[in-house]
Amino acid sequence: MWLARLRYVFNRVLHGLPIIFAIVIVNFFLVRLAPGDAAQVLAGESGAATEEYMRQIREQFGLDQPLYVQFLSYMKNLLFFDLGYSFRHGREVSSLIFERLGATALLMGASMVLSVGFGILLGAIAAIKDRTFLSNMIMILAIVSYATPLFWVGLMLIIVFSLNLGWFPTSGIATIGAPLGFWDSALDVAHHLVLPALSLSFFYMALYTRLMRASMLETLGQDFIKTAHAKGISEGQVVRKHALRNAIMPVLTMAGVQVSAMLGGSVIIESVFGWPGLGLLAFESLFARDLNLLLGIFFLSSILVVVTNAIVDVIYTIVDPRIQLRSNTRNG
Amino acid sequence: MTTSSSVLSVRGLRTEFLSSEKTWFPVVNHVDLEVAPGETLAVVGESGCGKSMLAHSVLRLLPKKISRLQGGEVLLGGRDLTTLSDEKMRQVRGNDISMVFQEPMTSLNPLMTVGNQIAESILEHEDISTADATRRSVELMDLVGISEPAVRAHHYPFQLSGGLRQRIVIAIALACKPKVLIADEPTTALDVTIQAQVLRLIDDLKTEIGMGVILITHDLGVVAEWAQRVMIMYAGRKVEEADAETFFQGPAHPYSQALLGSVPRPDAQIDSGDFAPLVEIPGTVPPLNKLGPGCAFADRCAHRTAGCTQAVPDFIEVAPGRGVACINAGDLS
Amino acid sequence: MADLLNKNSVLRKIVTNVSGVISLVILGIIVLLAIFAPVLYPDGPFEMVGNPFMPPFGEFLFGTDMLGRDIAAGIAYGARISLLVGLVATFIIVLLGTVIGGLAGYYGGWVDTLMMRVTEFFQTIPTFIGAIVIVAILGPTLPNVIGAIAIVSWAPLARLVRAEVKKTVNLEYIEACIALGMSDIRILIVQILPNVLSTVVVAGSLMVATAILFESGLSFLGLGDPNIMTWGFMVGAGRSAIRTAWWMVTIPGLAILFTVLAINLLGDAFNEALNPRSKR
Repeated sequence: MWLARLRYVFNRVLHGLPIIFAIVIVNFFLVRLAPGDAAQVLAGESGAATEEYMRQIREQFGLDQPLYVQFLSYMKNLLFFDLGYSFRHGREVSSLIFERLGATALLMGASMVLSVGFGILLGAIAAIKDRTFLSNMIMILAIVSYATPLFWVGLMLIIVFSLNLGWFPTSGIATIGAPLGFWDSALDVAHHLVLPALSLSFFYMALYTRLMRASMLETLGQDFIKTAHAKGISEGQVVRKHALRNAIMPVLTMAGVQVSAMLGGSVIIESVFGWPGLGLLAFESLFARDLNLLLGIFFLSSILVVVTNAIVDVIYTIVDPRIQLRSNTRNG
Repeated sequence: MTTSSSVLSVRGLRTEFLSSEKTWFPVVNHVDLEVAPGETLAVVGESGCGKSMLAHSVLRLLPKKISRLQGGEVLLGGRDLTTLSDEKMRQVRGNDISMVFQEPMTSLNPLMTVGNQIAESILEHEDISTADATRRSVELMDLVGISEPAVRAHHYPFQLSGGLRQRIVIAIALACKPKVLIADEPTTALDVTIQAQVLRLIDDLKTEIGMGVILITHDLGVVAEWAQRVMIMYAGRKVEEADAETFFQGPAHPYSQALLGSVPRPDAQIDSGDFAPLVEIPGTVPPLNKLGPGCAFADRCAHRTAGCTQAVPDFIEVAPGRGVACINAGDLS
Repeated sequence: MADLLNKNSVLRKIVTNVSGVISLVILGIIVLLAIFAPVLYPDGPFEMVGNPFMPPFGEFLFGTDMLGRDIAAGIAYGARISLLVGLVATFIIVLLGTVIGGLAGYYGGWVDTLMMRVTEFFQTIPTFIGAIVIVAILGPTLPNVIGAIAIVSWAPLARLVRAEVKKTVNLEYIEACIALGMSDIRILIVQILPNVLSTVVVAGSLMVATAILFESGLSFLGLGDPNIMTWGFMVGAGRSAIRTAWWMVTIPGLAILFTVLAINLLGDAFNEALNPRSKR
């Protein structure tokens, strides 16, 4: 069984490769689409960069070579995760990115769990208590959250919970200069994480709530629910053992699709809360006009999406037996 | 049919639904029925006649928000099911009285192995260990004629054919040896050859366990082959009742006659004289929330008289288990 | 299609829907504000009209920002940009999505495979970061912002249209049209397009809201046209004064919230009016 699952995962990853390749091509040509000298665009400042740096860029991107040679060397560099050099930070782009990856992963993970968890919970309640006051309140909350810009949610939470109530810090990932033990510092990070994770999950929670409600209503109307009732098992068991698991499927699919959008949202949330992840790095590179760094982030976040999608597929095979076995039979 | 020999008696059952205009209208109207152990009662009618509603009412499976019971009793083993608490009713369902539904393709939870779906019912109603329940479910799969039950128990519904799935549904229904099995069009969605197998299975198990069966169908061929007694429903009411032999020899209600006229007679010979041409019943079942004062069938009836639209005809019982609801019934034969 | 042509019927359904009415009223106010912005605030949104940091509901309805600019004027002018971006971006998205999804669904085969591969690519890349990259490289002008939003957003619509077209193509009367020798273009435009129209209208109306949110995010990050006042920019600029002047971030944010909310509700009302079976 696990072999079939492994093969399935391998197929999914293979499926993602052309997309990564396409991203490489797009990245390559985007720079050349920019008005003016590509080296200057990459250096990030018209004419102000040092001659040495400009030469370095021309050399790195082979801008004096024919296009196909440029492309091949670009590809070769990417293969070794050589994303170039950030003049602003005076460091390799790849090392800069990897350093920030953890914070973004933490934020995304927490927001994912929050939004999917609450979305499923609220959506299920709204469906089970359909046409009641509680259900209407949940749906109004979902409709409003669905229309609220991420950055604004973040700022409102800061105004209320940081500035007025003083419950949570306004920014950063940890208290600076506080010498702490492992558990204390973990707690400190968690304390900093609350508001950013809530802000990022707000919109997606609304999305999953709406989806879960629709899915749950549909599932509750299906024949196998009637079969379960006819067995004489309790209402709670019908919901837990039969309805919920089936209704969750579309939400899981959607959560996988939304990883890419959530990465975009993390740029906004990280810059609102000064959360030192990829998003904040992107925001900083924007201001510094450090395009090489920005392109590196774009490239890596795309790979991140491809990988996450593969992981979501694996989770799916565990939750839904039909998928895994279908691919099993297809592969012989 | 005397009450003492019945395992299930339904008396004067009336179920109402809430219309979109927020008024209540009956979908099951003053229905009586009796089922004896080891007997199959066929409930027959076109779609929308209320036969499925009747079954759901007996098991109290209708959604509470839009339906309600307005009188009548459902006696099973000396208890009136209509007065039980929800919790008590839950213990009856799947235990004393079970139901098999029409759609085998969708009647099983796609994300649960079929073995677990059978075991779930046993675990719910009996004080039994999980291992024993699993063993019982394999035995049940064997009982309903599934080969390699121990292997198939670990399969998911999508891995089984429609016929096999319906056998699983039946196994679930029989898991706790119910006194009554209600089969709601159990074979409509299946191939003809599989149909016969499934009905044969129900019939065999009926005798083996000694349960009463209510077979809901619109297929008179099925009725002729498998039922001992027949009940015809129209617009939520019982319009005729008879033992199967009497019914097929001489149906008394014009609706029954029309139904019989609209199926090809399996015994009809083209070269012999008793071939009856297929007759279609004109019109359709009227919407139940828009019924007039008279007989609901009057609009489509070939024998309509002035009295038909005056009042709903009473169900006249001429002998135990034999009756008809038609004011002209006497003149029709 | 009949539903859509018979405007009275669709309109009536929307007007009889409570949230439909609310959304129409909110949208009406915002549209009026956008149209009459130059009349109400002839000096434009960048004019310093009073003291900085003046709280709302005093001399100025919504107060002033840190440079003494009237926030109400910013809201009025910002409405123009939000609506413009929402409508133009949606127009391009609908055009791209319908053409690509329509061709893929109609022709199938390698056309379908190719176009779906491209669609899949655009669905995989992180759209917001993609838009940031495009605007950052091509420069922060309004057309670039609109173009970037459209380029990264058309893929889901193309998929939707493709599915609808595939459903329609298999219908018998389309086969009859092919048998009659109608040209592909004619079949696509005259026969198939009307069938996918209600799907496109509903998806498109929600797309306007998404595009507005998208634009506000970009200008919040400072990727808007520096010569244009937008709601997202106002929130971004107000951030630095968040400790003292809550209204600078709160009020423009509310403007975005109400606009997007109204459009979403209208989209839902559209959906119920055009596809009654989806109503619960």
